[in-house]
Order: sequence, then structure tokens, then C-alpha cells
Amino acid sequence: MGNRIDRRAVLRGMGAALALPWMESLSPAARAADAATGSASGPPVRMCYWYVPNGVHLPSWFPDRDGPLIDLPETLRPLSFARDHLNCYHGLIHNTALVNGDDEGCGHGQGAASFLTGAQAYRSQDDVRVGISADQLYARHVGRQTRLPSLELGCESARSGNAFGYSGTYKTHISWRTATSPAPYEMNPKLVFDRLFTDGAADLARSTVADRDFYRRSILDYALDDARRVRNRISSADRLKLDQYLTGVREVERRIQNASPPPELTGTGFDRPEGIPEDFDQHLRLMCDLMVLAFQTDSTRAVSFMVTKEATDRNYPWLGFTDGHHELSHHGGEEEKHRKLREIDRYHVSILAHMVEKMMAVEEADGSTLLDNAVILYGSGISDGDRHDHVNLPVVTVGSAGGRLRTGRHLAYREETPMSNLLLTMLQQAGVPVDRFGDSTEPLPGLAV
Amino acid sequence: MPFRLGNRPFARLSAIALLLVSAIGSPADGASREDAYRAEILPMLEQYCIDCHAEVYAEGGIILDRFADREAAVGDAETWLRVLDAVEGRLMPPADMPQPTVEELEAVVSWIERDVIASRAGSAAPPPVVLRRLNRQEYDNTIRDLIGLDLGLSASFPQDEIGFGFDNVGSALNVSPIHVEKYLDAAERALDAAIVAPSVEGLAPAELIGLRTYPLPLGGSVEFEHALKPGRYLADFSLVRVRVAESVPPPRLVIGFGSDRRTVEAARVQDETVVYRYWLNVAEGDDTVHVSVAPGQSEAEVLGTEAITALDGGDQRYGDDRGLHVDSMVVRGPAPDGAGGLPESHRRILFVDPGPGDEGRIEAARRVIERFSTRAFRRPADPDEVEGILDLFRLAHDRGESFERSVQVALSSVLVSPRFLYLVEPDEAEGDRPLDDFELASRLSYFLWSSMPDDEMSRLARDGTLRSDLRRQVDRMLDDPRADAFVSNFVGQWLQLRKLDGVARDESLFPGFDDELRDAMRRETELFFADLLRENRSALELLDSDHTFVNEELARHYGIDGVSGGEFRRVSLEGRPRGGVLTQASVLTLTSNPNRTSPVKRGQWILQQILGTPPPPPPPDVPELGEGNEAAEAASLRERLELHRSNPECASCHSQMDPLGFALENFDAIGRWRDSDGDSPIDPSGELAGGLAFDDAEGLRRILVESSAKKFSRTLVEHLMTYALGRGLVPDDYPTVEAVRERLVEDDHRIRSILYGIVESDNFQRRGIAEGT
Repeated sequence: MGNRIDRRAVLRGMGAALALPWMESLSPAARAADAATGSASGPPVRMCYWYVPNGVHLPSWFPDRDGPLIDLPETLRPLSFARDHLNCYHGLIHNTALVNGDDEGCGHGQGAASFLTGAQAYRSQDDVRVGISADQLYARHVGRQTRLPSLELGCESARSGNAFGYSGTYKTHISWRTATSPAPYEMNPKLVFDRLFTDGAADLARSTVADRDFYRRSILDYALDDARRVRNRISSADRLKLDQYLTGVREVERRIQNASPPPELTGTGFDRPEGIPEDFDQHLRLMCDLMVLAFQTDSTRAVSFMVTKEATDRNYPWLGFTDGHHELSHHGGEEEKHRKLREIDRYHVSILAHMVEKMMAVEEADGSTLLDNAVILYGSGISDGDRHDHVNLPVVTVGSAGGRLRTGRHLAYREETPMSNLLLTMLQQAGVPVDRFGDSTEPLPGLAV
Repeated sequence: MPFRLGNRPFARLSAIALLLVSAIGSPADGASREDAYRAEILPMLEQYCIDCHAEVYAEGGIILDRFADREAAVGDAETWLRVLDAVEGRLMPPADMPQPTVEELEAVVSWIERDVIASRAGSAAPPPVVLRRLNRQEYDNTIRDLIGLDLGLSASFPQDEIGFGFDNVGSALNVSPIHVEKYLDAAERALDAAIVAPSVEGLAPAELIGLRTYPLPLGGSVEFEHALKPGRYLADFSLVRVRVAESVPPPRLVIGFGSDRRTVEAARVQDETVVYRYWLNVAEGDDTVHVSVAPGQSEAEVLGTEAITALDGGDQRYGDDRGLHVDSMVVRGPAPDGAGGLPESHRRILFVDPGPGDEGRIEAARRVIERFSTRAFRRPADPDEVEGILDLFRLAHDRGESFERSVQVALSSVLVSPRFLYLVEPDEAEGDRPLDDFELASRLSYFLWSSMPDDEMSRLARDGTLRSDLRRQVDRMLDDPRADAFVSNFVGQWLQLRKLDGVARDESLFPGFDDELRDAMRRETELFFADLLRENRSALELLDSDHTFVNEELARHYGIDGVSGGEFRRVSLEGRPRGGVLTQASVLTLTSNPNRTSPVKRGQWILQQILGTPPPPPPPDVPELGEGNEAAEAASLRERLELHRSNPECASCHSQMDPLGFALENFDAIGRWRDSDGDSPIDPSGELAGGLAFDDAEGLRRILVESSAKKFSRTLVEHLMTYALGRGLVPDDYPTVEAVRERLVEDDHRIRSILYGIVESDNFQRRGIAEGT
């Protein structure tokens, strides 16, 4: 079994025989260990969480009727080819995104913050607090089995100011390692590629990398000692900050210690990206390709992807208009703005479709496809951008987590069913032994097989 | 689960305020302070406020019927600061409620300023700055000043979090594992760039021993001749261990090509063979290879306690002769000197040449580390710290690395140390304390340079004379080119110029809007502010001014003739509609939409950044602009917005924002002058709260200078102080804010007086006390 990835396998999905970490885990001992995590056999479950900001145009989002998906609503039509893998949900709410008695707050930050956490953003300009996010919880559970525990990606500069007493950090982070430690996303495809496939040493020889890592371990040891000395001399508030650093050092140290060489991609035709493509469409597609590669090589099993940041006013001139997304989302009921919003929504979904198509084309060792073993959750923490609300959130999933979720349906739940119930069900089916997540009340009925 | 949306009370009492009340009236009371609250303030509150702000209603979270007397009242400064904003801004009481007289309003304002704010002075120390990591700009600048190379390494770091409008607020800045990963990488890259380590890449190897082998006795040595030219060589040396278990740790050896000998650890073990890889110097006249087992290792340590049988397939040349054998020595070199000699950065860091031998190298490394870490940590490194870092040098050096490479490894650890990455201000004892001179030097340099202190400041700190020289240092620092960082970082965030980078414009509507114009816009505002600072002119010129700075591109944009070339120069704005930052293209652009202006955004920007009273978010479920036939039929944006304002829930904020924004409607979405918007002629006239009417942008600027100088000054001081301290302000900071503002007024608003005031304040010079301690 080679360690090479054929570009065509990635780009057109002819399948590739790869020696992947999860295959090694099929030894009897590992099998037992795996059973404990709920993925007793077969390829591991890959979890991918997408976020789009500013809500969507709701009337073109939800299917007309419950049950099997036949005709997809206008916005979701780019996913028609994957209809059998798709689930639409109706009635989900993030109560934690509501302002809950605060009299200020605009909903954008809160929507993004609660999206994967099911927790409420604490109102503060600096002291951010929300909750661990679903992707990070999954990463805690399976992250040690892969080179990177998780990957956080985005396609827009994460710079964001405070709004109405809430930190801008809420608008640019959907992944939270802990309630107080946001996991920033990478937007440069080159740097993503380097983390995944070159060990950050694209220009170094392998022997040099081994040497580098030898010293890195010692340097980090020193840093850890030094941080402990500093820690003894500072206030408790300062310690909270320094502890983030200590956690980071330990995490990187662990990664270096356990590092297996990254999968070889040389000669496969998938070149190291040069940087951030000027063309936004190219940027999005390249990020999708990288996500597929990361999953395909089992470099990580938990990915989050903020297509753009919450409340962004980015425009999409290639769709034929230049209004900003946020500006349009305050449509005020104008049909012209609805039309433009639909176009943007549909465009975003077409990017998701691009990734889904690739994942369907990647064959795994047991003959299933990468998509079969994944769940992609896609949606927004705001439902109607004009009202900034969080009721009946636009959310879909693609993939069945290795046949553990029933798909191909529109699932209408009673109004105000916590979206955390969906997050919980996904985690449980991926083998995470939890019975609560965020403000969940119970697993979503009828979703798990 | 209750459905909460829509039930939310609209926050009418929010931080919104707009000071357009001229400073009239005087604190009209002869009563003692003790009585002032009960005698004068409480009756007014009862008359105008308590209907909504009694404990049972608590509109906007403000409760005003719970203070029995002055003492109880002044204890809750947070509430009164919000009341001050609301009252000064004429936002409260709401328009449809009975209104107090101007004198009554003024009495409340001055009571708050005097009894609530001023009386706090010295009563409690403000909180400490939370451990502040360097942000991206600071990281890059610090590396630049530390090693002398501008590498821009932070480009790959995650974006910095923003707190209270700035990206240097310690409590807002977080560190995640990816930061540590990037710091590590950046540290290596920085030292790789700064220090040139010798390299023999591409040079052919030469074997010094040939096919011979030498037994290496424990107490003795092996010596043989070589004919190497002077220079630096990388040697791969193999030792064969016969009938020694592979698990026995390989011995340390002393190896040399002449007078320079070094003790080295094995690089790797493979079966019988132990490989040593090390750099060695060959001096003029050196001609002998020396190999011996480093002293201090017993026979049992070197050979193990048990003899094993010879390995099958092992080297037959040694037979059964248990022990160590010198097998091969392959050298490459001499390493070429870099063309053009060593770079400045290298010579600055490696300021001593190591003496011969291990001891010489270690001593040199100690001095290099001591100097480098003292600069990097921004305070003298103590000997223990230096020894800790030297251990890393030894680790690399013992593995045979060159002196330079070993220094790189050691100094990498300095650059990932929390003492480099954070501004550490220890709290070993309870209570407030003055910052020591090194801490103060760092606060100053990160305030005014976004970088580390320079040699002069460090010297003053070492001598303990920084405090007595503070004023002169501030002036010196502001006159230094490094103060550009202050201008771009402070102005870039206060006036939000950084947003320009993300601004997109409809190409068909604004074909001239390109990166060059965008840069020119930013430059104008930066140069304008920098000039103000350099010349120490009135801060009020930010609101209205008779000159600006343009290059050819921007001059064309503004319709100013006679400017050619890319160089910026000062031009008079006499007889032109522009003046001050409000009418600069940068601000006008960043407050517009991709395809049109947004008077609401412009108004909001002025309220927030200039007058310090950010409006609250729109209440939920309010129909947005444009809904309904009536709105669609209304011809101009202005008419539509006016309709919108007829909704009382919107009016309280939009009656503040919209007139400000409409005054600037003569400037299009990229700041060009225009007389009409499509077919609708522009009407820039308007009226602000308090009945202050104006005809156009020029009139608005005049009104702002005349009537809002106090509010603007306070806002500027607040922003500067937040940026200077790296933390959000609390009520205990407001006595200082007011003192600095008053000092500004006394000094004819000359802008440097704010900086002097902040730097000389206890807030800046003392550590502070955490809440609850």
C-alpha cells in the first residue's frame, strides 16, 4: 500500500489505496479500543461543520413537506445529486443565541457563538466565554489518533470589531476548545497545506526536520519550565491567560512527540498552494479540496469551516450585483433583495456541493465512499437576517456517519426544538459517549438508525 | 420553552449620547455636597426618570430609586456614567416625556462630574492590565528591533482579537495551540535569518582514515595526521563497538583537529557503529586528529557490564577484540565564508568571537545569551535564566553542532518564552505597586512604538532615571520614525481605517477605486494625524482643519489641481468643502456600502468614534428601511429614512445618527464631491438635538467644534488611554480621564498634552489592584 495520493483520486475521486492511521487501528487491540469509542470497525467518522453568516432567505430554504426528499427547495438544488445523503431540518432553535435578558446585542456574534456550542455568549468586550464546540469535543475524543486533532478553516480575514458590548471574537469563531479558548481559523490555503502535508517544512530536507523536531522538543520543555516559573509570580487573572499558553505548548509538544511523517503528496499533481487566491470562488474551492484531502488522508477527523465571518458585508460581483451580504440580509421584505439573497445562498450551497461531490468520489478501503463515513453539518446561526433571529435555523446535514444516520429526508420537529439535540445526536453517532451537549434535551428522534 | 423574541424591551436608556449642549449654567447650589444628591438630584430623578427607572421597571437595566443618599449613589459610578451619557446626549428623558430645563440637565451633569467622578480620585486604584501578549504588529516590530531584520513573520499568525476597539488589550488576546506552533516556527525563522550558520552543502566528502582502523583505549587516545586547510569542517566520525551491547549508551568523545577540541555526544547508533557528527575548526598549523573518550566515564559505563558475543555479520576486521575502534572519519569543508561577509544582524547578536575549545564557546554563548535575552525580555536576565538557556546551547553543541547553530537553538527558546511573548508584570505581593522602570519602559515603548524599548530607554531604566526623564522621552519617542506605528495602529483602529482593506466597491459605479487610491486615502488620514502630533497642534483640528495631505491620485480625486507625483504634500483647503477627518475620503469610504453611501453608518460612526456614544442595536422586529408601498414610493433615501424615523422606537437613535450622516451626503461612497444622488439633489442641511441647525458639512463641522469639543476630547482621551494601557477603562479611571481632558483644554487642546497626561498618570505608572483584592 503506497502513501501517495493520486491527484485524480482527489479531484475526480477514482479512489486511492492509502495506508491510513485508522487502518492500523484495525489490529485486535485497537479494535477493542475502538469499540469503546463506538466505531468498532470500518473507516472512522469524519465530522465537518460549515457556517454561513447573516442567515438565509428562508422561504427558498425549507422543503414543502416532511418525509423523503424528492424535489429540493430552490436554494438546496445544487445538492440534488446527493439528495439521498441529505437531511433537511425544520424547527430547530438556538435558545442560547437569544439575548436572554440582555438589552443589547445584535445577534450576529451570539448566533455564531452558539452555533456549535449550544451555549450563550457572555456579554463582554474582552472576557469571551461560551462553551466547548461540537467539533472540538469530537476532536478531544478522536484527535489523538490523527496528526492534527482538528482543523479550523475560514475564507475571510477574521478581523472583527466589537459590537454592542459583545466581543467581535464571537463573530469570527465557531470552534471553541474550551468555553474561554476560541480556536482561530486559518484562511491561507498554503498554510493549511503546510500544516497537513509538509510539517511546516516545505523547504527543509526530512533529516533536517528530524533535527528540528529534536530541538523543538527541548525548546518547548524549556518554555514550559519558564512559563511555570513566570506563573508563580503573577496574579490569578494573568494565570488564566498564561494557562492558554501552557496548554498550547503541551499540545504542540505532544504533536511533535507523536508525529508520524505527513502523507507524501509529491508527484501527485496536487501542488502546494501559493497563497490566498485573489478570486474568492477559487479560494473557497481550494479550501474544499484541502478539507477533502485532510479527511482522505485521515490527517484529522474534525473540521470546522466558516465560509465567511458573521455579519460580513462581502459582496459577490460575479453573481451580477455588488450589494454587501449583510446589507442585503436586511432585506426589509424587498423582493429584489430576496432575489439577491437567494443567489448568494445558492452560491454557498453550490460550494458545499463541490465538496460533497468530491467526497462521494473518494473510495475508502472498505469500498464505501468518504462521504458515507462523514457528516457535514451546514447552516447559519441566524435564520432571517432581517430580524436577526435564531428560531427555525437553516441547517442541513450531508452524510450518514458510516450508515449511522438515516438520510434523504426532511425532518420537521416541533417548533423550538434545541439545535443542540442535533449536535448531540451527531456526536453520539460518531461514538462520543455523551448524553448532553450544550442546552440539549434529548437526541433528535428518528435520526439515528 | 418560552418564545423570547419580541418580548425584549427596547433599550432606550443605552449608552447613546451626543453632547451638543453648550457649557452653560453653573453648578447652581450652595448646598453642601452631602445634601446635593437628596436636595437637588433626587427630586429631579423623581420628576423625570423614576417612572421607567424604578426598581420594578428597570428599563435598560438602570435603576434610580435605590440610592438613599449621596454616599449610596456615588458608590455606583457605572450607573451614573451611563446616565451622564444619556443626559448629555439629550437622549433621556425620551422625546415624548416631560423634559427638564437646560439648567436642570446641566445640574445633573455637573453633579456627576463633580461628586461621582472627581470625588473618586485616589479612592481606589484601577485594575491591573491583564497579562498582555504581543499582538502581530508588536511581534513584528519587536523582532525587527531585536535582531535588526524586518521579516513580517506574523503574517502567518491568527488575527488578533479586539477588545474595547483595540487589538492590544491583554484581557481580549488569547493564545491557542496554533499560536504556539507559529511562535515556534517564527522563532526558528527569525534566528535562521539573523545568524548565518556554516554550511558545507554541495562540498565533496573526504575520508581521513582510509581503510585503517585504530583501537581506542579508555585511558588513551588515537592521533593521526591530517592535511586539512584552515577553516571549519563538518565531520562524520564512526566508532565501532565490538562485543558491546547496543543498549549501552554511546560514550562522549573528545575530538579535535588541532588545538580546538570538543566533547561531543553521539548522533546515532546503528548496530555496532556509533556515529558522531560535529563541526570543528582547523587553525593555521593544525595537523593532527585527536580522538579520546571524554574523561569521567567508567569502563562499565562505556562498555557495559556484560560482554556480548560478536554480532553475526559484524565487521570482521575487529575479530573478538572487545572495545572501541576508530573506524572512519569523513569531513566536508572548509565551509565557505558567505559572500560579502556576515550580515549586521549576525554581528550584533554574536558580538563576541568564541575562544578556542568548548570552554571558549560556552563562555561566548553565555555572553551572547545574556545580552540577547535581556533585550528580548526587556529586563536584565538573571544568571539562572541565562544558565537555563545555556543548557539548550550545550544540548546542541554537545551534539556536534556549530557554535552558530547552537546559538540559534538557544535563542529560539528565548523567542518562545512567555517573557518574550507577553508583557509580564508580576504580582508577587498583595496590593498596588509602582511599576519598576523596566516595566514602565515597556509600557511606554509599546504605547508609542508598538515595539520594545531602545537602548536609551533601557539605560535609563537600568539607572533608575526613567521617571525623572519621562516627558523628554515621550517627545523623543514621538519624534522617532518608530512612532509611525503609534499613528497607524492607533488611528487605524480609533478611526477604523483598517476597515479600508476589506472595502469592496462596485467597479461599474466606481471604476477609479483601486488599491492605490485606497492606500492614498489611508495615508492622508495617517499623515494628517502624524502632522498634528509632530507639530503638537490642537486636537480639534481633527474635527475641522484648513489643510490636508494629498498626492496626485488623491488630489485628482478631490478635484485639487497642481499636485503631481506620488509624494504626499500639505495642501490648503481654503475655499473647499473639506476639512478634518469627517470629510476625508478614508472615513467617507469606510462608512459606505459597496454601491452607495450610508448616512446611517456615517452617523453611527460619528456617534461612536468621535462623540463616544455608540448607539444600541436596532430593536428586533422593527420593519427595516424600505418596507411597504409608502417607502417604495418615497423618492430619495432621505425621504425614506425620514419615514423610518416616524417610528418612535427608531426615532431616539436615528434622530441622532441620520442628520450627522446626511450632512455628509455631498460626498459619495468613495468620498468624491457630488451635488446630486442620481436625480435627487443633495440636501445636506439638518438639525441636531438641542436645536442646533446647520446647512451642510461645513456647518456641521463648525457646530461640532463649538459645541462638542468636550465630548470629542473625552472620547479621544478614552481611546488613547485604552490603547496606552492595553485594557478597557473602568469608573476608577474616569477621574484621570477628566483630569487629562482638563489639561488638554488648558493647553489649548494641544494633542501631546493628552499623551503627557496619560503617561504621567498613576493609571499608567502603577500596577493597580485586581477587583476583590
